[in-house]
Amino acid sequence: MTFRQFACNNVLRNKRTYAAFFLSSVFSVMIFFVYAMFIFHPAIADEEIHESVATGMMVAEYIIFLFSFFFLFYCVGAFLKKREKEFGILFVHGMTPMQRNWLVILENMLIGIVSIIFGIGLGLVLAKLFFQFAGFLLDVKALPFYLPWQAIGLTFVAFMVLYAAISIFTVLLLRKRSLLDLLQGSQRPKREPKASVFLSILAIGLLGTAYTLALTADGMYVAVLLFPVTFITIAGTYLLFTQLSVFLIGILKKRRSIYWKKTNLLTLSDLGYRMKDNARMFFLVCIVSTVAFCAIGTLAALAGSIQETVFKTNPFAFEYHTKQGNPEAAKHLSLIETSLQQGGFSFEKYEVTMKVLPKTEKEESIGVVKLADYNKIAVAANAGQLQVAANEVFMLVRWFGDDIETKTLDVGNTTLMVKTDAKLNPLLGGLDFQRLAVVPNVVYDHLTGLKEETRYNYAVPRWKETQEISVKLQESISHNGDNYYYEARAPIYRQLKQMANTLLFIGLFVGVLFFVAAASFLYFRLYTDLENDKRQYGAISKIGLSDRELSKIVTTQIALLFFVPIVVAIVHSVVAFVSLQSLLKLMLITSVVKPTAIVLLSFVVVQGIYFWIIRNRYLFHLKRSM
Amino acid sequence: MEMLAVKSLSKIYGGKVTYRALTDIDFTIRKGEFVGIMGPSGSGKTTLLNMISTIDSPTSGAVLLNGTNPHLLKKQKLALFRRRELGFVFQDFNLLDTLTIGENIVLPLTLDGVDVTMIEEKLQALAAKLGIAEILEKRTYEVSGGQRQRAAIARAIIHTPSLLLADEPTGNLDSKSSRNVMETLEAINKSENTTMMMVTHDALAASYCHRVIFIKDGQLHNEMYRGESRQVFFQKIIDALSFLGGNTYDLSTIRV
Repeated sequence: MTFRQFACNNVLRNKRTYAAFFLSSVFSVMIFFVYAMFIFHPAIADEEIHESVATGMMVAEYIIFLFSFFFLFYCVGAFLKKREKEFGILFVHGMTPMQRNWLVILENMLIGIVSIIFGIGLGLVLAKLFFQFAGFLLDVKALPFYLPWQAIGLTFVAFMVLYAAISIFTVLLLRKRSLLDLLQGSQRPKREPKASVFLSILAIGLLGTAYTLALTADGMYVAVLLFPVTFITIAGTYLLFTQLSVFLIGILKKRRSIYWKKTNLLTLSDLGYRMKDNARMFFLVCIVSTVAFCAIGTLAALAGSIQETVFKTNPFAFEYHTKQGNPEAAKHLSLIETSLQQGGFSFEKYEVTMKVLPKTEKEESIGVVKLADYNKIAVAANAGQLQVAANEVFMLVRWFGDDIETKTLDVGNTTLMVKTDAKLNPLLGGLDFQRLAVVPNVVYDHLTGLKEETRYNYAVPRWKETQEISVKLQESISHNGDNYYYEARAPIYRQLKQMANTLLFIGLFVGVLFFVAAASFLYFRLYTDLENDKRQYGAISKIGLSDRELSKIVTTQIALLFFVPIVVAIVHSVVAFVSLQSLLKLMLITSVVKPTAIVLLSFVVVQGIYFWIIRNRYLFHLKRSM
Repeated sequence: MEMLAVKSLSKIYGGKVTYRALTDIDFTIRKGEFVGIMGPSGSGKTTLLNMISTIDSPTSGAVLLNGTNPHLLKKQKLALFRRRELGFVFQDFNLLDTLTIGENIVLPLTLDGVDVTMIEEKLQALAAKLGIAEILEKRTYEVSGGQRQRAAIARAIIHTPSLLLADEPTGNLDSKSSRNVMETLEAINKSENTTMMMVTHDALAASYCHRVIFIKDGQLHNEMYRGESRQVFFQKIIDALSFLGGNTYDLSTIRV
């Protein structure tokens, strides 16, 4: 046996310990590689897919890389801690510190290289599927498969650097402990962790503050508070697991009627004892899951409400707005109409005329529209009709959430009371005026000698298919002329949808990566405990512990391990969503509840299945060793 | 010829309450000698062994092995010193679970970068001598306690160290395996002329030694030499232990 073989044996014969670590490494490599394949895809260079897709993926690459670094670094550290006794024995037999470092590096690089190869291999096998999925999401033809040498190169080099950096950092940070400590290793009984009352109360205080701030913040304040609230929540969560949980277990233990009841004695004492080890992992899993939930939920909400959004920004499939005396108007309008007719699209045309008031002293130019005309448009756009009394004027907001401060408005020679609704979506706009006011029919009819603007709206039932026509029209009409303004809904919809789905596509896999990482934390924790548990339950079963009682204790413990961080993460996410909702409304996203509920629910279901599998395996191993 | 010299060795454990584990221990071991260290629980036997094996360092005094004080060596040199001059046998065997029995045995040579064919030769010769040639390919959990301890002994002597240190080598074994292990140690001591020092509770195990040193409360109490008969020596050890005043619980093993 040479030294290199020795290092290999250490890894290869410890497959079960390294399994989860290896799988999540492979998974990160694979996701990284798949994104790299997109970035370097010739079709993206040929501009078939919007460049922003590639940019988004680039950002995702950085996130994956950073996350992988911290995740793998934590795992390697945890593995080494478990192997302290082994190193002690090796030191006794004359291993030099240099040899130990070399051993750690060799082992890490072995795992690293194998997982890079597996990750890239798996990525290649699944590439076709990914491309198809992306094509479906981005609403383009599926990208053809290609041999991604650049992507392979980038992935290989990036992860080799990553593993090398992790190995070196790990070695540098290895604690220098005395040989005696190393040899006694985990044999020495651990001290039960103590909780400070002050810090426990602080945990409640911090979480309470964070939640209150998040739930009461409104509109733009959410964006301002985002960072401090996140920070307070993270600190509170850390204290929740390290202090408050220990404190609560302590209280339960003092209540003998609970503590000394049947298997509670074992469950609770074990729980308190292990809390110190588990607290940090609970914290990490909880934060990672919260981030994954929030990201995926927000992106799903974004992608799910594109149609609603686009109906608000563009109430009609085609809009043509022209000033009085625009020489091209007739030509443009006939162009739009003939294009639609040639394409075989049925459409309805709505025409509305507005008048521009002379500038007020506030320098804000205002246009007016006749109530009857406005309501016709509103009906066509499925929006609410307005009611205006004879002495009132309804001011439309320019954008969602805009304020109107004027109390009265002079139109012609009558003074009208201004009323408004900041939540009403503006259906019309103008070129020579900034704000539109809906005035009673009589008032409008009395206005004379003012400049006029006319809006032609086309409602097309099959508007989603008008993408090609819209693009062609864009070429001949162009978006903005001096005297007119033209817009079609289909291209905007498509662009928004591609953007949202790209984000979803990226977010989904990054989220799944986070989830896999959290799952492998749990797996690792359990396998660290398995040897101890075997010994402990072996001893207890000799005193007389039935199979059912054993199952009950183990199930409770594993269930806590699996669901406590997830439940806390869900509570965090729900609070985050409630708070984000008011921010998202500003971005015209209204349906947050349904997509996030779907996301959270599917996570819980997957976690439940994972829990069931792991619990059964764990019990199987425990019972077999008895 | 003096192989090991222990000179006024003391160990004080710090902490909230300082505790004096060893006081002024002086003794020497000649080359080829097999020495047992005995004493009641808490008398400082294992502490003494840990000082000599460089696992722990003394508060004052010196350990000289072939004239070298390992506690003064730099890390790298110390590792080489352990690798070449010392061999260890532990109570709980301390074999690595990821390696086969054979791989465990050759570990010191592997760490020293010895040529693989040479390692193989040494392994086969030694395994045949200790009667564990058939289990070299097995994993640690597939063999009995006695076999594990003989494998651990093989690992401790494969690099022909100057001094073999054993900490309760029979502590985890049944009487038959204990006897077997002690006979193995005795045979190696005779054939290879390996110097050995063994800490034990077990009077029967101690009766295989040439000399037994008794420690009480961290101080040398007395020592005894074995005459012709192991039986007589065994009886003398029993007597000495009861004289030392440890209660029978401390002294007794399953066989007494």
